[in-house]
Amino acid sequence: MTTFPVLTTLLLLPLLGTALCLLFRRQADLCREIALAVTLVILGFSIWCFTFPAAADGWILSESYRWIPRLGARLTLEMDGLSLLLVALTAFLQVIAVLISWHQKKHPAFFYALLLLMECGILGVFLATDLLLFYLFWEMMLIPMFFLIGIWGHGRRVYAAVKFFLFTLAGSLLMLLAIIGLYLLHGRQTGDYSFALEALKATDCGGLEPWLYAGFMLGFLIKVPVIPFHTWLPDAHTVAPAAGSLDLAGLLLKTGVFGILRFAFPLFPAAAAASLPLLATLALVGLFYGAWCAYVQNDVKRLIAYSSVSHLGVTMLGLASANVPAMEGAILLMLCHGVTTGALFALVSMLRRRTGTRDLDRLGGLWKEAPVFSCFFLFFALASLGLPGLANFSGEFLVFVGAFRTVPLWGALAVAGVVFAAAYTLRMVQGSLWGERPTRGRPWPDLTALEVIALAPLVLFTLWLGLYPETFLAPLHQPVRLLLEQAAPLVAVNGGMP
Amino acid sequence: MSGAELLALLPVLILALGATGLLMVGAWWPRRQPLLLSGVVLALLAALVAGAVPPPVPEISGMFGAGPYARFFTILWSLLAALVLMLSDRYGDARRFPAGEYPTLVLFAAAGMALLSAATSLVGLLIGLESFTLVLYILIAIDKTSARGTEAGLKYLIMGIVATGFLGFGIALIYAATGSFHFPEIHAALVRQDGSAALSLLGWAMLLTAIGFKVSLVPFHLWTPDVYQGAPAPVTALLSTGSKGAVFAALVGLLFGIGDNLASLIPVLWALAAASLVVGTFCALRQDNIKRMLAYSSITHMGYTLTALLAWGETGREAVIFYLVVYTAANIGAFGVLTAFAIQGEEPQNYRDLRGLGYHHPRRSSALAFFLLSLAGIPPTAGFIAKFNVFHAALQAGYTGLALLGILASLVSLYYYLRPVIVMFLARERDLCLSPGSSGEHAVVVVCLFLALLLGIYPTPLYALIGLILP
Repeated sequence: MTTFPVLTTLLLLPLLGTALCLLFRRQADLCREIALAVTLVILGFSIWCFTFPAAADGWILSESYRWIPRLGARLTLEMDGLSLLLVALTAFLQVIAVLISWHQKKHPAFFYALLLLMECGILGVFLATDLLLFYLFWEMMLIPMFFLIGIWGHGRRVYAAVKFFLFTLAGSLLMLLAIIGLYLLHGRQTGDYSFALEALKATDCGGLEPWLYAGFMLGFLIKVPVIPFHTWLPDAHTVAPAAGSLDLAGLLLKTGVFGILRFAFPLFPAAAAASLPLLATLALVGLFYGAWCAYVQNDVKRLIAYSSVSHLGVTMLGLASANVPAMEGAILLMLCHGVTTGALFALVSMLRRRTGTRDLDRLGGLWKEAPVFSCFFLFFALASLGLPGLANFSGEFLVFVGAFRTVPLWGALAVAGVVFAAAYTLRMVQGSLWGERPTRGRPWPDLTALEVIALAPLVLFTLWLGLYPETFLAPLHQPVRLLLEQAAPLVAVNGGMP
Repeated sequence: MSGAELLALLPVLILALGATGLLMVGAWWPRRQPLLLSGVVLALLAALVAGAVPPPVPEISGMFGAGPYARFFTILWSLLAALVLMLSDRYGDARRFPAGEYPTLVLFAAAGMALLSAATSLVGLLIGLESFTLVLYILIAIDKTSARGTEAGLKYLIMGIVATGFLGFGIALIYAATGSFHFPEIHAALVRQDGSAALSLLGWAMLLTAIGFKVSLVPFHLWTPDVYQGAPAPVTALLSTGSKGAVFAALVGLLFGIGDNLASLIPVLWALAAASLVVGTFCALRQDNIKRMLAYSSITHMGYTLTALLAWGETGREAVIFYLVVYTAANIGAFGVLTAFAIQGEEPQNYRDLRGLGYHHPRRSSALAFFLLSLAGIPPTAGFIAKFNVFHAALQAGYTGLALLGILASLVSLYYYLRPVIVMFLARERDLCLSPGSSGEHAVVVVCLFLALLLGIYPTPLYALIGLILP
């Protein structure tokens, strides 16, 4: 472990970037460079974190400072294997987000400032282990996203932005009540009023446990999003700018799953154990419903948005299966989905910039006119579908194995879901790449060098995640084992540790 | 009154005597700017004296406290007066506010608020309350060219007189029942409950009705939107923060130590809080005018404050004071921006007037957005910590229903607080260039912005301060 405050730096860097962008708001090029430089430095820091060994309690790095002594809240930031991977994913995707928004003409300084501010919020969510601090970051990431959708979106952007904001806030406000409730319970029992996750785990919630758990879960499930709380997602995705969609799919949705793993399950293991069948049901419904909705969409971006609902269904099934392979698979799938779906959203935005449409009926024949674009698109579409050797396969496979081990029926149903995934993916590829273009006109230009540079790392990671996922699974073994050990009732439901 | 008591009263004397001086000077030498500036200096001086000169006696004439609690609010309201005067420079010029009278009235209002917050007897409460509401009647209608302003002043006057009637009657009844005006003795008499409980309860009900009018709790709120809309923006800032905050500060003093002796009041207070939360929120939702929206939302905020007051205990009182400070900062900031936007003949009030301002005036619009987010209680603004305190206190005291209602109100409130933000930043741009604003206005906005951000991420200093002054 190092004495350098890495985690605090990780949070301060994007804030610094935001301030710089606002300061030099009249120099668009400088703002772009600042954003790129800051995101690259953050990426460097997150890679550096891989070099630190984990302690026996699972934490790789931890920092804690005084914050609000009156309430017992501390500025506690901690990183274990799980947060490490998500922090790295955030840092990585934000670099891509800056690169694919390089052409941003409308208020560029404000755009990059918001992008960086959101990075701070997301990193904070993954690192905070003080519940009040976590909540602060949890809400903080909403505001930049609201503006990103509302200002730079297209179509019904205001409607989508407000819907996004209200939906997610509704959940998180109930979570706030649950946080305060838990805090008061713990304080009354021990005399120590604290928001520290570790301390709160020991709280005896008694009859209130299901209510508190429900409060937390509602906040997280809306963010995931699990059916029936998903309706904000397609709207938000469809209108968001490229970087916004990338962040939404790649990062924001992950904060919900992360919250369940880090907070909801360990804090309320008994209630969580009781809720597993319900969670699995919701997950499976989401898997099929999302896939079906994706299949009937004509708008490519909306199609991918619904496919996210479906993929997140598989992830949730992994959590609901509550054993080592399923949970590791679920987390791995989060990473894979972040990379592949993020790439698809970026590609669709590039497509729209070229063709002016995302409507499958008005697309087609891209393979002939823009071969490089088409190669990338096909590659990521196949990865998203779960082709062996590419990213999503490894995660999904582990989830299926885990689900079979818990309730074979869940596993069987989930595997059947892959057929649906194939259906909508192939329809998307067929409609856009093959055949003839319905309307004549100037040929669509292919990807520029900058776009290829932005996408190339995503290709690399898609292959890496698919061919040798152990690199990413290794940091997960200990946290997942600890999680399942601590939340003993979770495991007991499924007949002990595998 | 002894010399020691006079010394204890010094900050208020500076405000009141200074104001009188300004009035005289204004009669002979009506220059707006120097008089306003002198007003700011006097208000700051009063705040400084209140902080630096320790009072030699704990109480003044058995009517007003001079302890840390009273001093805290004296400082707060003096600073508020200074901020309001700083806001009024260009605005007052454009609307030809009377040079001497305007700063005088604002300083008088601050003195009245300081007295009210410090009241330790019912007489003190009456004097304090009346001394600043009288001033507000004039201030609201000070723009003689505005028909809306005159109407607002008249409305406030009539409502105020009714409230005064209730207040006087309530005080008389409580006096009849307990034989004293002094809070501690009233509490002691309540503990004895010597056969006059019904009389006393009626008195309390009247008193609460009067207070309900003053802080516009539902169902006594009907004057609020018209008066807010009609009054000049800096005066609305004063009206929406100080006049309500001072009453709540007095309420904390009045109800402190009352314990279970007035348990029968709790359902009434509960209903008032709940009704204010619900009605304020839903009425604000329907407004197209930002001042009216802020008026209705202020009713909701009073509901939150009452919730914290109901929760009682140290946490509850702490939450009330914290809320008042944060609400004052955010509200003054919001009205500060509105003032800065206002030019001769046009005060952008309707949402369509704000369209695209985010791009023409990015700094002020961002500040307004920040204040609105703070009023909505979104982290990392101070409003979040303030609301957190309220919910914390409410849950701790077992008012789960009220906390849930507060959460729901908070959620709905987001919609109306976001609307101006949406109009400013997300709507199609419009070519509208307002005046660049004066340095005074910018200074006020910066101060409020600083407070609203600092208290959101590092509230400890304010907690420490409140811990020191809590009665």
